[in-house]
Amino acid sequence: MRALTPKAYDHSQRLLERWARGFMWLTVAMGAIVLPEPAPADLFMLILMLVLPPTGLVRFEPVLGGLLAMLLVTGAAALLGASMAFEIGLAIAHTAISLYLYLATIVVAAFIAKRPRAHAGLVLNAYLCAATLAAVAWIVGYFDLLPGARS
Amino acid sequence: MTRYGRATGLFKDPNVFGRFLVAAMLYVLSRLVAGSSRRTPLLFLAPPPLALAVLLSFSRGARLCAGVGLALYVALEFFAATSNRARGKLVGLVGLAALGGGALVVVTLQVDGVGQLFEERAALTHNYDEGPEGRFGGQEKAAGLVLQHALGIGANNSLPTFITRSRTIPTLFYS
Repeated sequence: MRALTPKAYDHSQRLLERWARGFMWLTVAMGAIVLPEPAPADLFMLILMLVLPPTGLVRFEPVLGGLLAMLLVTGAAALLGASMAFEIGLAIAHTAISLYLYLATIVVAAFIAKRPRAHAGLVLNAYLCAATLAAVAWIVGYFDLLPGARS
Repeated sequence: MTRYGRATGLFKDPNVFGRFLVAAMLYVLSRLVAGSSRRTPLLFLAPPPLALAVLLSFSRGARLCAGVGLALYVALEFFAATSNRARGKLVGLVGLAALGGGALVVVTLQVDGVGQLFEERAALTHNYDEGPEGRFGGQEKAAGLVLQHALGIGANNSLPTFITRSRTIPTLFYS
């Protein structure tokens, strides 16, 4: 395979980063829709957790290791509790979802740590869009502005 | 999008829905206060639906969150401001928000059923909170269970454990 010239590499890397940022925006914005479970945002987040680290858009600061350690202690305690559960399936499922959320937390935090101002702004903007969308959807449904939307 | 007359939007639970909006409300306020972007006029579109939805989620938790969050944010912004001009702007925005919020409440109270629900949910505790089968009674039972099972009973196991009235209610109204 022919090696990419530095310029071409730069170009493809920038394109990749732009796509990854767009995908992150979409993932957070999809947080407004959680009626079906698992929510579409969760599927997107799982993809991001796999795709984001290789793009180089994350920075795992040592302090994140501390956070991860604390979260994993919580997870271990939850698993210990699950071994005592009356309905172990429920407990395991709940704990597994928690573990996924811990890892998602770390990936999003590492993404923001890479470029704090720009990436925090991106996440918060997407979140604001999601919240506003959810609120508007609710108003439309609550006051029957759209026939049939109430359910 | 509604559950027992309470707003849930695209969420299952009005309390989760209400709290989801609070942080967005604070963020948009901070953007309005900073107010340097050319998209600032667009940002004014966000607070009215957010505030209305938090109010009509009838979630005590979400309202408390919004109240404390707003008070803390405004206080911090006020004391951290570097000029009196910025403080004036903040006071102006808060005044505008209070006026808009008041108008919003008055208008929504005119809608059938909403005013009535407001009265019903104005109390700090509700019938599903009180008594031995209510939420607080359930918490007392849970305290006993904690002493019996030092290692816990596993996540998500409280519902199969307490087969009482609180079986369905906490999942709906966990405010």
